Amino acid sequence: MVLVRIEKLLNKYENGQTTLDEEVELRDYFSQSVIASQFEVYRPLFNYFEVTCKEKSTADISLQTNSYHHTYKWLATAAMIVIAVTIFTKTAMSSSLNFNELTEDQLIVFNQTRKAMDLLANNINKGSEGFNALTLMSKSLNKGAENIFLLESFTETKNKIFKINN
Amino acid sequence: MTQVEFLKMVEPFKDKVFRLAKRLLVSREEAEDATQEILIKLWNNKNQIEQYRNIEAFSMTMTKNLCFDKLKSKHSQNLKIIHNNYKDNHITLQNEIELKNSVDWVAKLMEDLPDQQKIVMQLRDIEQYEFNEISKMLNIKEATIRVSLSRARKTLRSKLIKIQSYGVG
Repeated sequence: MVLVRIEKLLNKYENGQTTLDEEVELRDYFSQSVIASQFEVYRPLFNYFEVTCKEKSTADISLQTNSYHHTYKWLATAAMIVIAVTIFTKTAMSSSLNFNELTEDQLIVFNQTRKAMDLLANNINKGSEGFNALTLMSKSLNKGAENIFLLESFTETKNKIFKINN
Repeated sequence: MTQVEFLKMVEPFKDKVFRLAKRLLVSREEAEDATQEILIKLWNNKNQIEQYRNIEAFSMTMTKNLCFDKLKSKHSQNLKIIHNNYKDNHITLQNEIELKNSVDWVAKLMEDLPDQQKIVMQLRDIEQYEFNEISKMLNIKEATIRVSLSRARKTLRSKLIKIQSYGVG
């Protein structure tokens, strides 16, 4: 009776016509230790299904890595916005100050500053003139040193001559 | 949705995703990577996910697509010599010893099935989904699924008969 039933189920199974319940029935049948020899060929198949559906993934799930990426993205956008805003405001401020638009007070201040700058520049020029004199002096000093060298070579030859005479 | 809630939600089908990935990609490491990728994708879309009626089916579809993409890119790459890239049709002595257990043979035989039959068999015979569920996951008709499944089952049966009557074959 059982054999007829299993035979029928296997037939349906091979044609893809069994229901899930019938497939469970087949699996149960093939998990017995003793089965009819003509069905033995199916045993590995159903046993494999039984074993392999218990296989588990052993890797740890890490979702963290990705949320870090998100915060970095947000930080990057925020930084970009800050930089863009500062550059924009800087350029906007400097371009808006035109010479003609200055008030009287600002012009006075501006002129005073210019005067002070001119004064400073004059003094610097004077200072650099002094420097010129200094470089002239160091040039003559070098010349003097060269002359001393000549004098030394002269005395050397002089001494040689004296040695010969002696 | 907090991480804990999310993990609780994916727990029931996480291993199903892994097993489907392993069926298609064969190597365990690659299957683990694929599972990880799927879960991260789900986590990143967690706000939309709550609108889906069946997250499990949705995840299985995603897994199938991801694995197909991976397989495709693997085929288009230049041939690299790594263990899962070249197929050794010759059964070595080592394999023979490993496959002594006839149950392991089934895994080996399933590897040789066409991808669609592999997926259908995985979803039906191993994960025990209803035909209408599989039909939604794979976006193919129930009748087509039955045909694929029938072919896969018949192929495996005839190969098993061969192995058992002629030994390693």
